[in-house]
Amino acid sequence: MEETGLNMKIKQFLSIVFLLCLSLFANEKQKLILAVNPYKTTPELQVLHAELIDYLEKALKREIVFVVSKDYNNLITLIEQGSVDIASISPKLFATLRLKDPTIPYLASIKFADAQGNVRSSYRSLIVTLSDSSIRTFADLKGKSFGFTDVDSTSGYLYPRFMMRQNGIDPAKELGKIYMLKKHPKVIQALLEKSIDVGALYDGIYRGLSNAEQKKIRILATSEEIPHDVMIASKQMDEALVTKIRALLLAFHSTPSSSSSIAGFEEKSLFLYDRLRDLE
Amino acid sequence: MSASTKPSNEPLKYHYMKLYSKILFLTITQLAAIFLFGVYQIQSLYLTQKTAFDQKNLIQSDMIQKRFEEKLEALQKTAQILTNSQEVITGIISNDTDMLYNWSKLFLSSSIDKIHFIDLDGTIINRGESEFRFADDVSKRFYVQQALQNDTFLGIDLVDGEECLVYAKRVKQYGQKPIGIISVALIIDDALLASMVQGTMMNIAYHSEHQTLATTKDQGLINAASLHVMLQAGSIKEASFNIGLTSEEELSALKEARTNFFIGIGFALIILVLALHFILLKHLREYKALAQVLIDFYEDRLDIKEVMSTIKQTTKERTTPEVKKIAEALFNMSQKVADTQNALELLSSTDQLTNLSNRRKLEEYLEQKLKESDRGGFFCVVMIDIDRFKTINDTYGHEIGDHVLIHIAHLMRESIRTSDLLGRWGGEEFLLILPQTNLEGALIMAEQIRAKVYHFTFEHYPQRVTMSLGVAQFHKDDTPNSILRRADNALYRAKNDGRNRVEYED
Repeated sequence: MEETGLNMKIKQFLSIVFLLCLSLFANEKQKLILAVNPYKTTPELQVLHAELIDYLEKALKREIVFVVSKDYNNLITLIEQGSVDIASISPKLFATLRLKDPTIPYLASIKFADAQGNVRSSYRSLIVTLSDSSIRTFADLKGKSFGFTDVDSTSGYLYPRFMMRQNGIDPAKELGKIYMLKKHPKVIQALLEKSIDVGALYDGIYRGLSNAEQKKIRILATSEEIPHDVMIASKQMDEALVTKIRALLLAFHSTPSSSSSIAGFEEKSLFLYDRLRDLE
Repeated sequence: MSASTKPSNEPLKYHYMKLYSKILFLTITQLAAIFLFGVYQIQSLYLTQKTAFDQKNLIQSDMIQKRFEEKLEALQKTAQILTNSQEVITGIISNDTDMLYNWSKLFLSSSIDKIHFIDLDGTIINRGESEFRFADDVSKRFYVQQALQNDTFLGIDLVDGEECLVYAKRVKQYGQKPIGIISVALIIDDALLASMVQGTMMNIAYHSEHQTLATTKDQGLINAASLHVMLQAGSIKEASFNIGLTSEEELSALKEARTNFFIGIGFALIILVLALHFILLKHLREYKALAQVLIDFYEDRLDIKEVMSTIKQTTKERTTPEVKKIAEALFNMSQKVADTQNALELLSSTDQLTNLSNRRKLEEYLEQKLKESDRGGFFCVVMIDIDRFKTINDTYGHEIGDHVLIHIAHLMRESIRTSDLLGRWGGEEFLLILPQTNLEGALIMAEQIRAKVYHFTFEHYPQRVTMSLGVAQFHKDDTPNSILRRADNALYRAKNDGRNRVEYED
């Protein structure tokens, strides 16, 4: 594990040095740089993007350098500087970037395969209660105990609170006891144990339930689509190349066997990303 | 004589009883001493064992007490560790059930069954033992109220419907601001009780208003003592732990051995005393029988011959060897006494010089013959006198006179029958008593004697010795004097008619 960590650091260091060199020789455009957030370990991210990189290298006939940024802010800086050509970033980060610069080139939204093998480019937040519960409307939530997952979770915390505010309920004041359950499946368990009256979670968990379990659960509210990560391009990149790469991405389909990789791409309304800015 | 005869039987009985009592008393005293010593020995052994047993129980009781205290300490320590964790404090503040669960599940063990995080409203944020069950209200629970009021609670209370040892502690942020409660509990169940007395001989019972638990099915603990528990008064009434033994098996074996010994010794004592009693009676009866023979002898109820035959009988009977020996000794002694008696009798009825019966014996015999005449007996007497015996003495001396007397006596004895009695009547005079003999027979006999002496030649006396004899026949109503007078008269006539002749008087 230590070795992997060291390797990763060396690679990051080399990447940065390499990027600096690239900026010195701007005319040298033979290679494309693809950067990603460090939301998983580097080997995992390499596996996740391997098929895509291979596809793009063949289609563009250019070598693609895969870079894992040091942190979220570092990636933003690199994009702004034009040090990376294309990047995969989280929806919330994209929303933040667009706030600064709405012209940032959007390539496509990434589609992942969920546990059931369904390929999706977005997910939804659900507010759920027990089927036999008396809670029917948002107004009924007043004083009720509520199970969230984590304060940083879009579907398990941010979106449900946004929905409550939209429906005239102040989640900070009007709810009863609030519990943080961290793991999404735990919301269902706590609900079935009647430990909480209402809970919020990612819809994939609900879909993964057995029919019998689903029958015990009633969905009180469903959020708008929450898109997965997006691919963006650098503003310095040639417009024709941007268009070409977008077309290539939308045409990409992973082989069905490789479930642990990016499944494909889809174009989404940019409003869905901007919306995330309103969540908190 | 009669005064000394009567009470003589009583001292024997008295001595006999006294001997019996003495032997019995001595034997019982010795047996009792042995018995008491045995009792003392086994009792002291029992006491030693009991002390060791009690000591062991005491140590085990202490051990159980300590185990119990350790259980309470484990509860308190765990609560202390959890209240010191910043993450736990954050978790309580933010109702982060997941984080609290991750913490609490680490501390659940055999000594800790329940860890609950409770907010200030008395609502459970998380249960370490049940991940998804929370958010219920426990504010009414005694231990929660106590912890909220007094900072801590250590005692017995119902936690989720189970009687538990509970330690509840108020959690404070930055050591000041109360934010919630941690309660750590151990269920009071059979497993807990079993673990407390494991490896000991003791049993423990828990009793409260709700339930009674015990490590043994048998009710009732022997030497039960209350476990000294430093607990706050809880909401459970009459909750108490008792430790003790269900059986004193070890001790009861000893007790049984002691009882058996006592009974055994007691039985042996009774049997020994009874055996002794009968043996003594048997022996003493034999002694008494022997003694009675002797008493009868000296009180003239038995003569020496009868004594001897009785004793002989005794030795032949099945008696104990000791008594047999004594009887034999007595028999020999009686024999000697009889012999001596015979010798004395002989001596007292015999004339020293001639070895013939003396005058006393002759008078006795004559008396006896007169008595026998009442039953049809008849007899004759012959009075014999040596003629001129004074001349022999005077001429040849007394020595020759005695020589003549001895030889004449010898000659006469040779002539008479065994039933006849010849004796020296005095000096040179002899008397012959002839039982069942008429006058004619007596005259023949007298003549034979006279002739025999007349023709005899003495060794140391050169002359012929003659005798005069007077015969008298028994008459009815004779007395000794009357018949002897007639014999004397006849003798007188024989002397007067020339000596050396036989005369008779009818």
